[in-house]
Amino acid sequence: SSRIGRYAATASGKLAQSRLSNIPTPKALKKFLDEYIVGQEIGKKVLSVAVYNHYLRINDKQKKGELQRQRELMEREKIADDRDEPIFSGNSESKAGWRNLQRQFNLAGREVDEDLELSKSNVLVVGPSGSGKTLLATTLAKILNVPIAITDCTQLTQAGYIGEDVEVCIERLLVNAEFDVARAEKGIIVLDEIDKLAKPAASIGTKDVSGEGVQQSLLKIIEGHKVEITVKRPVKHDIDGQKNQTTTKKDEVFVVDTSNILFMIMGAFVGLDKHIVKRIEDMKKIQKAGESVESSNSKEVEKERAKKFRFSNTLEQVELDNGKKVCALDLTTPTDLVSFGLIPELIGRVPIITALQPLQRDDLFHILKEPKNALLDQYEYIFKQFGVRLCVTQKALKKVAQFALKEGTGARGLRGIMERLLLNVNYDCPGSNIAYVLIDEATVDSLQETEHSLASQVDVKYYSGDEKDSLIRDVSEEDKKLGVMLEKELGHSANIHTPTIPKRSLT
Amino acid sequence: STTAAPHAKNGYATATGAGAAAATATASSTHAAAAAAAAANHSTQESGFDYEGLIDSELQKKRLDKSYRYFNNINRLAKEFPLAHRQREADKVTVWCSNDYLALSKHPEVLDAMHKTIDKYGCGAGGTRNIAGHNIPTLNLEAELATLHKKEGALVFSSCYVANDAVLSLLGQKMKDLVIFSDELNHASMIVGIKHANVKKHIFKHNDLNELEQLLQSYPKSVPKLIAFESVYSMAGSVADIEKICDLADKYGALTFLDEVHAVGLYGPHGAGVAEHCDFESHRASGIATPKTNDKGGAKTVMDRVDMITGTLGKSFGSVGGYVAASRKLIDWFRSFAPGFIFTTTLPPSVMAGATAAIRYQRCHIDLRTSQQKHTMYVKKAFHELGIPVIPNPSHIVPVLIGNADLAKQASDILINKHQIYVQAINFPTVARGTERLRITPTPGHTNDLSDILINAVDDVFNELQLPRVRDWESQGGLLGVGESGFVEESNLWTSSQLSLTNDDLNPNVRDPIVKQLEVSSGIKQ
Repeated sequence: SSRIGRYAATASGKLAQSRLSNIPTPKALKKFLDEYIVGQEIGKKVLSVAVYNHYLRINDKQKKGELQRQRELMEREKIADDRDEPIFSGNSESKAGWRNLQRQFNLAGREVDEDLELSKSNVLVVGPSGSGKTLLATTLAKILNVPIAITDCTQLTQAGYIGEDVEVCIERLLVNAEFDVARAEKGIIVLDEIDKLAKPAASIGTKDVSGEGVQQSLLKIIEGHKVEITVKRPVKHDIDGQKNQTTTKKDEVFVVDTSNILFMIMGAFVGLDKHIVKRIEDMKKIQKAGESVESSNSKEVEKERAKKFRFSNTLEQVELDNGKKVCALDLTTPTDLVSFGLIPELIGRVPIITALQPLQRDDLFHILKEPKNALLDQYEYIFKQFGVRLCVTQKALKKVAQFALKEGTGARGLRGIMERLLLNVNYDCPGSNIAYVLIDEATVDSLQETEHSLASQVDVKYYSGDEKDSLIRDVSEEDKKLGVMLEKELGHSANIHTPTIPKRSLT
Repeated sequence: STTAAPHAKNGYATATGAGAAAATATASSTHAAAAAAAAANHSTQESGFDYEGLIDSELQKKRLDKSYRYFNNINRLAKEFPLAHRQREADKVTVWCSNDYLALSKHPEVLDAMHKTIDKYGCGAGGTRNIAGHNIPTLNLEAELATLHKKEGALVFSSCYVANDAVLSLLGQKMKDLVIFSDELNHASMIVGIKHANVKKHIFKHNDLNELEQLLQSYPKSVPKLIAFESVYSMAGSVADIEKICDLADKYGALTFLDEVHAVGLYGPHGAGVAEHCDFESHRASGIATPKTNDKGGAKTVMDRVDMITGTLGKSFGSVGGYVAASRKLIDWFRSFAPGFIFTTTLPPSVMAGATAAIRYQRCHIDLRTSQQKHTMYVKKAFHELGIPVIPNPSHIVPVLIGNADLAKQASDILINKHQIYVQAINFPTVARGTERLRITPTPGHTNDLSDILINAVDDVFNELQLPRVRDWESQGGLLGVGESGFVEESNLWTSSQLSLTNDDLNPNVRDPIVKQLEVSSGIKQ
């Protein structure tokens, strides 16, 4: 090994070592995720690192193979070059260059430790509905330019029973990779709703073919195995005797090695937070028990808690010893998952566990306007199609976020509220002379009919093409920034007598 | 390829013919119908040669050994030299690897000559010299080239690749006993030409004149010989000792063939190449005329002694095309016999007018050459101080040694994407595997402040990719003169006194000389 050390400092050693991987760094991955996903700082960080390491590991494997093939090829080529007219070889530069290459191959080969096989790290993401679990996965696949297949576990059953076999997730990945097995083998498989496979707390005596059974079937695939799948694939487009186009579909057998596929297992795990809170409080109780024995009213507390749990759809928080409050899901341990109903064998194959936070009001507000694909941009775009400039004030957006938070469906709730809010606008505007629509705080407020229901009729402010001054004035009252922006965008026509603009000029 | 195609067709025809014969033979047997059906099936089911598979696997190999080539989209801007834009016009990069060494491809005088010619004579030449006839721009260019190299004649080809191939192969085909002595680092066009010459050949170690002499010695003086070599070897920047080679040629009765592609425009007081540079003072003093004596007081200059000089119009002279300059007899001979000349369309008149203007302009502007040299020295010195490995040479080329195809490509990519500097990675087969490099070519337009940006960028790339520096090469004994102990560096071709010359130091006869058209360009009247 001392000889390796000595060589490593030389030029060929440096060349052999210096192979910049083209995987984006964890920082770059996170930055990309930031563009699409608001909040979830810890989750994004954990996933960025996990994904980076996963692809490092694949690259390492690939590099070893490629190096070997490259070397063999070059040796063959050199022999051929030397034998044929030595246009490009045989001279002293070729010889010196070849020595340099040989050295690089030898050194690179020496660095490869044949016995060291990096093990795989799959990821489990726990997060409430609408917190962006699948969005995270699809965004990662987009950055890495790898195929992704999202499968809901609810439809899976054990082999032989009615329902999809677990291999369907690989089949989907293969289709998404356009039947390129090599590409599929580097892809991402998302198993969503894994929590729905939880086995019931008490055994009911029959075989649980769509729950525990599926978990068991998943084990081998997740761990990394060669899986044989048969796919019907269109192979031939032909023209038959009657000059009709025919498509021949052929059953093709593919063997996919899943050992490089990244599995991301996800679920909302409804109730897991309560379980965690209970576990932690019990633990605290035991600690306290040693100090004093005055928990006579523990029954009362229990009742209180049960009541609280039943009526809330927000997630529990836990107060740590240092006084900080964190979301209970952040404290998820494998044992919690086992007691939830996942089998230990499955959890063991998914060493990285991360939790996504339920979205807060601020997060929801940011989601409305900041990320690429932001909801507000989408609506503005749609409205532009029929000639309407949609103006929504900051305060209105904050209110929308507030409503969405109450619904408890995460980011998806935003969409529902926006739809309700804009239903009438969308109905009224196309084909009218309305050029500007203003949604302000009052508009959103009018959505709230009673405490528990939303109205279908809202008060929206409409402006025609020549009323932009009053639009800007109204906007500026509530949102100065937007007012200034609009002024720049539309131009100020105050004090200028404008001839009446022909109606429906914008349609 | 023209001979291969009908051959393949014949092969195909005989194969199917044999199949048909077999079918008729079996048809006469008792199981006639079944056998015929089987034969018919056999002939339709047999799959043809997998052409695509062959091509695919070849290309795949290219990718695997990392010598697969990606061409960059570089649009060099005539009005903003040395800038170019990529696909988007706003996306600008500084070009540091072009062979437009003197930036004449965008010079107003050159462009003006081209505009005028194209307006008057149109675009294409209309065919070969023989059928379409040639024209004033052709005659002027060949006269200009002969004057530049102080030879009796010159002949223009589509490119210097074609010129080298055509001349060398003709020599071999006409002199069956010819023995060719070729430098091992000769350009592919010469190697191909020698291959086509189809005569005995010897390859001597790069610039190793002892080995060359030993090889020459083994033949009687009466045997025809040819020494084929270059002046500046483009990928390493090394330079041949032309005078000594001429001595050997005289001693052993050999012809000399010198490729000056990367030297014309850049060496000699008037840009005729390294051969002119050998007798710098004599040529400078006599200007456009042939000097009476050489720098050593002898009768013939080195340039005079070289039998054939080939060069390009596409690099220093800024357009496209190649040529050979030689005696009247040789030119007449090439003109009459070389297929690579006879069977191809003449260059467009405007291109030739542009090249003529470029040659005339650069002849009386020694400042182009001196500033090019000074900019090269500035870059080389800075790289030396940073320990960035430059393959040592006495010329204007700055070959930065990388030594790995993949990393050379990555380095080039980082330079263009991060630093907006375009330097293409040079890989196999342009250079040998394992000697991949970044080849940097400063021009008069690459001023020191542009150089500073380049130097910082290259240093950054060496850090980012952890590329080996000079000391790393030293610790393993060096490569191509980088970090080689005991390697003696040659001094620069341009001496400091030569570099201090100005345009006014040239003989006034180089300014707007009247150059007479040559009879040999059209054919010698008896």
